[in-house]
Formats: sequence, C-alpha cells, structure tokens
Amino acid sequence: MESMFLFKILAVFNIVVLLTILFFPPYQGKKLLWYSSVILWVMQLLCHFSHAGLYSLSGIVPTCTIAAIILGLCQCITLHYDSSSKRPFFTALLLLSLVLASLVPDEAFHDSFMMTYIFAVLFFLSRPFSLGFTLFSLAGMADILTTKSNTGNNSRMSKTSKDAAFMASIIFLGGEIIGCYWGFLGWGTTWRWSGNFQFSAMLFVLFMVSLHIPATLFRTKRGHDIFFSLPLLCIALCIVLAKVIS
Amino acid sequence: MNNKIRSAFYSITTAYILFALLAVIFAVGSHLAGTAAIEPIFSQMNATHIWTCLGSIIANTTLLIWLLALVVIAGALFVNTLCCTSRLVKQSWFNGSKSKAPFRLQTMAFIHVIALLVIIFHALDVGLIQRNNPVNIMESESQILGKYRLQVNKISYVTDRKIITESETGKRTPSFKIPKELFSITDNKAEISLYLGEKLVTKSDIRLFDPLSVGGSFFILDGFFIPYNSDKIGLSIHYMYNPLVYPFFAIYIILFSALLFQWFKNRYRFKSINTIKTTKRSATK
Repeated sequence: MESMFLFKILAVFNIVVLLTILFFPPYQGKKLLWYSSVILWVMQLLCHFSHAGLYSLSGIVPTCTIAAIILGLCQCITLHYDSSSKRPFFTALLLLSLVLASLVPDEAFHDSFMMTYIFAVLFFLSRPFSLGFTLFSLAGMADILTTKSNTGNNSRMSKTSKDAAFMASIIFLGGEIIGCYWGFLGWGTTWRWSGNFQFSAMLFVLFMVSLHIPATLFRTKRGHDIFFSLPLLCIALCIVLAKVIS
Repeated sequence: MNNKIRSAFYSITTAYILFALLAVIFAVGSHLAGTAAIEPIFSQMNATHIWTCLGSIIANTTLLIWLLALVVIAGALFVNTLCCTSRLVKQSWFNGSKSKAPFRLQTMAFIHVIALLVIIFHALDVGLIQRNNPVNIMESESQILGKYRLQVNKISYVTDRKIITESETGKRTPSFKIPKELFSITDNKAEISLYLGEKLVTKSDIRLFDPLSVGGSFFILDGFFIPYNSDKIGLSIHYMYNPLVYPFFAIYIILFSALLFQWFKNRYRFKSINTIKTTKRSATK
C-alpha cells in the first residue's frame, strides 16, 4: 500500500514536470526536465514492481510506465534537433496521457505461475516497448501536421517518425513470435482462434497499413501523413484501452 | 480488363487497401470470438482442426461470412505480395544490367520473400496441422495417442493437491491459473514412456511448457488432476503432429533479423539539417 502511495506522489511530480514542459515553451528544450521525467517514470515502475511484483508486466501500469520511459528516452536523444519543432510539446502531451492512464486502478489477475515464464515476460515486455516507439512516431507526425510550411525540418521529422514506427512494428513482431512460441510450448498451437490472437493480428496488420502507404495515393503530403498516423493512433489507443478495459 | 486486374495485383495501392480490409476483418473477428454462439466453435477449432468444425461453421452464417472474407482477403493479399515481390526480386537481383541494385532494394526483396514464406506456413498451420482433444491418463496407466502408446510411469506433484482436485461436477482449476506462489513448474512433472507397438521409443519427463517431441509429433501436458473422491493423480495430455513447427519459427527469426538489419542499415541518423545540406552539397560537387 505504501509503495502505491509513493507511486501516486511520483505521478503528481511527473504531472508537474510535464505541465511545465507543456505550458512554458522555453522549458521544452531543457534536458534536465526531460531526464527528470524519465527518472520519475523509472521510480514509478520500481514502486509498482515492489507492490505487484516483477511479473505483473501485463497490467496497465507497467505498460504505460515502460512505454513512457521509451518515449521519454527517444525524446531526450532527439531533443538537440527538436529545438525548432513542436515534437517535445506533443511528447509531453502523450506522456501526460500515460500518467493519467497509469493511475487507472489495476485489478487484473497477474499472479498465475505462467507469468513467470521467460517467454511470457518477453511477450508482455514487447508491447510497451512497441507502444513507446509508436507514440514517439505519433508525436513527430503531430508536429508535421500542425506545422504549415514544408521545411527540411519536416523531412527529418517525417523520417525519424517512420523509423520509430518501423522499429515499433519490428518489436511488436518480435513479441508476437515469442508469443507464438509460448503458445506452442504451452498449448501446442502457434495460432489460436481467439479474441486475443485476432486482436494482436489486427494490431500487426495496422502497422503494415501504416508502413505500406503508397506515395502516390494521396494528392497532398498532408493526406499521406494523416493516413500514416491514423493506424498508429489506432494501435496506441487499442493497446492502452485494452489494458484499461481488462 | 485482364490487364487492369493484372496491374491491380502488382500495385502497392492494392496491398494498402487489402491490409486495411484485413485489419477490419481481424477487428470483427476479435469481437466475434467473445460471442456465445461463436466461442464454442472457435474452441473446438483450436482443440482439433478447422475441417472437423465445418458443419458448425456452415450453420453459423455470421462466422461463415467472416471466415470467407478472411480467406478471400488473405488470399488476395498473398497473390498481391507474390506479384509485387516477384517484380522486386527481378529489379534487385536479376535486373540484367551490370550495375547492382541498391542494397536497400535487395534487402526489401529478401524480406518480402521471407514474408511470403511466413504466410504460406501460417496457411499450412491453420489448414493442415492435426491437433487432438486432450485425454486423461492416470498414473501407471497408458493410452493410445496416434500411432504411439503413452505410458504414465510416475507423477511427481508437489503443489497443494486441493487445487487440482475435481469438484462433484468434474470441474477443476486449470493448471495455468494456479498462482505462482503455489505452483512449481520444475518439480511438478511426470515420467512417461512412449511405445511404438511394443518397442520403447523414448522415456522422458514431461512438464508444463516442456512438451515431449518425437519426430514431428508433440505430446503436450495440459495439467494435473485428481478425480472427485479419489486419491489417484492423473495427467491431461494432448498430442499433435506438426513437422513444420521448427522451420516455421526459423523463418520467423530470419524475418525478424532481416527487419532489424534493414532498420539499422537505413535508419535516419538524426543528422541536423545543416549536416544534411553540407553532405548533399559536397555530393553534388
């Protein structure tokens, strides 16, 4: 109970840091704030593990927290080049959404012995990693879509966003392969006719939709960017909402 | 008309539309899997085979339409990938000219060839692999599973026996749901012998998540149980014949490695705009 109280206190600190980044533009480029946010997320994750155990990875809190650490780290790496862009603003906005989602009470069943199995751990880890990169891609695309001129900065932003989306899809696929192997060893099937498997297949196909968008399909680059971002937005919402609902 | 169909299959726009449709189909499927009418049919399809459930599938119009849509879209996507990949392979590997195709294009061609193999293996897995319903075998008893006779020599079960004891109606807690504090994955095991006719093929321990494999046959432990009002312990076990499973995972790992390689090779290196401009200028000079 104490560690969860500490978790909430850290979440409040994190909200303060993120609101500072959001509403005071001069602070958006301050590395100290971004690194302190990442450290706060790491501490939140440790608090959660001390409360629910290391094997509670399938829950909403670890999903949001690990995704936020990845998103925060990606932003820290590119911060130097993002001084004239709005990506830090959108990253902070997404991180704030993750803080709020991580505060949703998690009452799901996590203590099955199956959760200690290495393939289960890796499978559940792949989702937040993938979510973190997806959100980083979305932050970049949000910057492009809200910037009027088509500058070289937009081109860089577009490329890094596509790289992030590609990495998200690779990690997601890696998780699915591990999940297939886990399913095979446990139940003898690499694929099952079940809601979970079809939901995962849908998310992977949505990555494919995003990455296979034809350059000539839309008259404007804006249309192209919107339809690149929509499946990613759908993936991010599905991963988070599925945890909230479960 | 024929040319239009042909060019449609060679188009990336078709792939885009088919992927979008496939995502919608999986979203619908994810919803259908939870409905009372379809869930039992899916369970049976998981336990045995899609072909053994054809009667139930045909009787359920929603499921039939959904499955047909899945097969048609997935089939069209396969043909589309095949056409696009063959063109990509021609361009990158067999372009006839002495100048090499860009390395990025070559890797993309390779990734798509592997992706095609993944689709084929998934189709074979769903369409051909034969699974069987689980059977219950008590300690020191045996049962015929396919062409083998499986003898349960000894069961070592260290967890609280109350958890796996069946109720009066025959219900029991699935082994997978037993909390980690109560269950030992290593110490809960059974020693089994596998016979082909009278010849002993193998003698081995079997655990949860640690199936016994002989050739392409796999014997998978589903859990332990104790019948109501009994002291004897038994195993719930099922077997399947799937010789494709290791090549299937090998192909998946090759695909994953190729994608990672492609990312590291082609990722944008976070260069500043000035650096890019300078590089471009010096390249032009």
